[in-house]
Amino acid sequence: MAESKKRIVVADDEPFILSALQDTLSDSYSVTTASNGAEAIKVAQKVLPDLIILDVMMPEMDGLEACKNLKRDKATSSIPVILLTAKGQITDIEKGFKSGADAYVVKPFSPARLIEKVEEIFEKVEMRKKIMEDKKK
Amino acid sequence: MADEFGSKQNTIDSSKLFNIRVWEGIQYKFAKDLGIAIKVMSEDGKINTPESNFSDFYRLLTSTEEGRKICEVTPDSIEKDVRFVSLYADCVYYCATTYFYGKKFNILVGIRERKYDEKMVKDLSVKAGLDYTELLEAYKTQTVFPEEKITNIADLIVDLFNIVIELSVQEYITHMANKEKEEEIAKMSALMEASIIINSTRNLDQLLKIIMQSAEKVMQAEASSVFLIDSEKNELFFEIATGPKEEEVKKIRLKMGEGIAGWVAYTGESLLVPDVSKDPRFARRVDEQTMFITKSVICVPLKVRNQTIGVVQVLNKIGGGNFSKTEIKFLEALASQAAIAIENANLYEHLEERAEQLNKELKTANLDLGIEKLRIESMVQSMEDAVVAVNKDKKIVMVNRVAERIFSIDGGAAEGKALDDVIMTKDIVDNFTMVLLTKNINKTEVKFQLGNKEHIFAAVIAPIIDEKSEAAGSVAVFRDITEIKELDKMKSEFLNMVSHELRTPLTPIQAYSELMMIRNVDNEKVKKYANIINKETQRLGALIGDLLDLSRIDAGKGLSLTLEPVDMNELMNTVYETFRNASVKHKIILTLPEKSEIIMVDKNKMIQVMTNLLSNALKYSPEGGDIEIRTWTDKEIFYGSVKDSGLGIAVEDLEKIFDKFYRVESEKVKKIGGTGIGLPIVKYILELHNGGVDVKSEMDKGSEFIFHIPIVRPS
Repeated sequence: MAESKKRIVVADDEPFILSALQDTLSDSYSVTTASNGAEAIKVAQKVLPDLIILDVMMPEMDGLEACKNLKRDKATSSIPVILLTAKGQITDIEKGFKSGADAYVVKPFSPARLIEKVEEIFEKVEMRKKIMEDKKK
Repeated sequence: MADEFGSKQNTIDSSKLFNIRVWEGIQYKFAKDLGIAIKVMSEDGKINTPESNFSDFYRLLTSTEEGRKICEVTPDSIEKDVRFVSLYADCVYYCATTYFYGKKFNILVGIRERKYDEKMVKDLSVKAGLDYTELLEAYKTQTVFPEEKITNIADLIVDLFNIVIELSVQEYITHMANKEKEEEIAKMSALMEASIIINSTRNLDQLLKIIMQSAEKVMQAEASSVFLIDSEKNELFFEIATGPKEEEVKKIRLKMGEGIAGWVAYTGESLLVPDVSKDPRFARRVDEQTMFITKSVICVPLKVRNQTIGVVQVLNKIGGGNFSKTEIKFLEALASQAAIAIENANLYEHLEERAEQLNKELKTANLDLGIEKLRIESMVQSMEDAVVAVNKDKKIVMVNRVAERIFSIDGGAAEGKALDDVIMTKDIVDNFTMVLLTKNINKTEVKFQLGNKEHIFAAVIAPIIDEKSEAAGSVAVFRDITEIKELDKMKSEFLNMVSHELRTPLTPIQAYSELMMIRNVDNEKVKKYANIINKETQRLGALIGDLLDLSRIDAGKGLSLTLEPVDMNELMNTVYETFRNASVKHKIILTLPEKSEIIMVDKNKMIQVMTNLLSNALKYSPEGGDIEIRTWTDKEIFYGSVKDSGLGIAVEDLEKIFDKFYRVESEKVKKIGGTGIGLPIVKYILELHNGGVDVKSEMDKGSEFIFHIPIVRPS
């Protein structure tokens, strides 16, 4: 591939989960890590990644709040967000989508599934781009 | 944990797990690139890799049936304790041996330098039916190695072999460990599901059915049933039966003590019968009537407030396996959930019955005023539930003492007043109106302020119907269920947290084991991944250990101590080593007295105490900082302290943090995972040692937990 690797910011307060995310994704993507929501926002504003993966339960600022903030900020609002959580209940998923998240992955996650989800999101973004371009024409 | 794996390894058959494809790949590489012939044989003959040998000589020789026979090697071909062995056609191989899990492997590496023996080749060509000149040519061009070189290469190959087999075993162990944890999780989530269902539905039949179906699914059983005791007839009847013979089963009744179910109902003790045909208690009658073949049974009592009201049983493992003892525990846990369901459903039924009964009595009272009315009134007054009765104009006819208290009504002043002058809660007044209009019973939950706290009441309002089938009034019974609700909420929050806490270590375990499976990872990474998996498995183990301890304490069985002389400095050092590198943000400082104390304690339980205190210290100081561990002795009492500089604990929470499931209600704390069972267990263990634990804390400055145990020296 000639184009440079897509960039992903991942945030989780559990160091081993963070490293698992990094080891899963770093083969195909350029990965930057953060250990809570506030840090994730800072990093995202600096890196302007193609995707952000946030754990829901984190100290300082949790994933839902961080997601809301990212979606409110013009600079980061168009970056897709995947929420990662140990809770699988419907109400939590609803909360997640209300915060503006684009997808949901439940812990424990399968690396293969996660990669699929990431690729799926990137495909959607590409498609959206194409449609927008077609409209312009 | 180490013991557990140790004992497992002894029962591992290394030849079954051996990753033969990986090994054959290595053999192939050596033969193809370096011309080294290799063959591996286990002494029992279970592993016997084909010889990798790309020489023309070998190829030619094995091209005929006879030649192949000549080249055949079996474990018997190798003499004991020889370094070099001639396998065929004067081809000498170095014979290295290695042992793995009690199994001997011979690794044959060739071929050693030798003198040409043309006569031998001639004989061989005749025997194998091959052209002599061609065979001789091939024989001469065979790659051979000097003895010393062969020995060196063989050492390397043995090392490689050991690595492959070690990795195969590790792979197996990881796989098994993951499988066990997954089963554990499946059970936990089934329990959780059951509790969620209980909170969301009041239909008892449906509830029990869902609970039993999840039991069947998790335990992989063919069928299951719930029996309740009919105490009048002293019989058991099927409340719920699932499985293929559901309808037939429901018609059957068992005498108390009859069959496995009857036995469990009678004794109140759980029972696991692996083979019913060998158990005299088993009642064949049920199988005969239903044409079902029972093979194995787990049956546990269904207890409400310590009284057996029925039994739950699960039949036949799908695929014919055996139920395990841990499954008894699981079914007991489910049975206690079912008992809660029954209790919940009964609560409403009882209230309903009571309202109807009062209604009836009131009706009679209307006909026969006087003494009868007094009798009813005294009965109603003594009830623990609040009772309010109104006539058809919604004027109060009667209130009892409890109702006077909860609705703040002046004694005796309420009668004759309008309901909405006395009861300020609009919902309740509306419900009375509704009942009078529709003449239907209304069941609901109402909330209102009592003192400075909001209470929740289960309310049942029933119409009083006169002889003309008109509503003459209505009567309401209120029961305070605030405490039940709070317990319920605490329980479901706890289950949520447990789910979170279990999934947290499980996430890296699943991710890394899958990465190892789907990707070609190098040795260094395998080591890193396995290390993480191992650490997280231990964390999961500790959590499950805490949960099991809690359930033992809860069931009133308590924990037992295994006292042994323990060097306390050594114990603290062990704990310190485990946690030393747990976090980059924290610095753990260990200060121990010069002279260690050797005292009688339960070593593992004391490690559990320290592990819980230290994980808390790390967890609740998210900004990092120093964590100090100190021990000292004063007047024959041993003290230990763990101090952090983290969030701290508010004064009003200090007492409650040792309560089961209690978690501080602050936003900061809620974002940090935790089950609220660590400290209760710490306290329990220390009390078992006749000691205790105290806490000093200041908000935003940190907390210090100080425990003490009286010194008992080994005699």
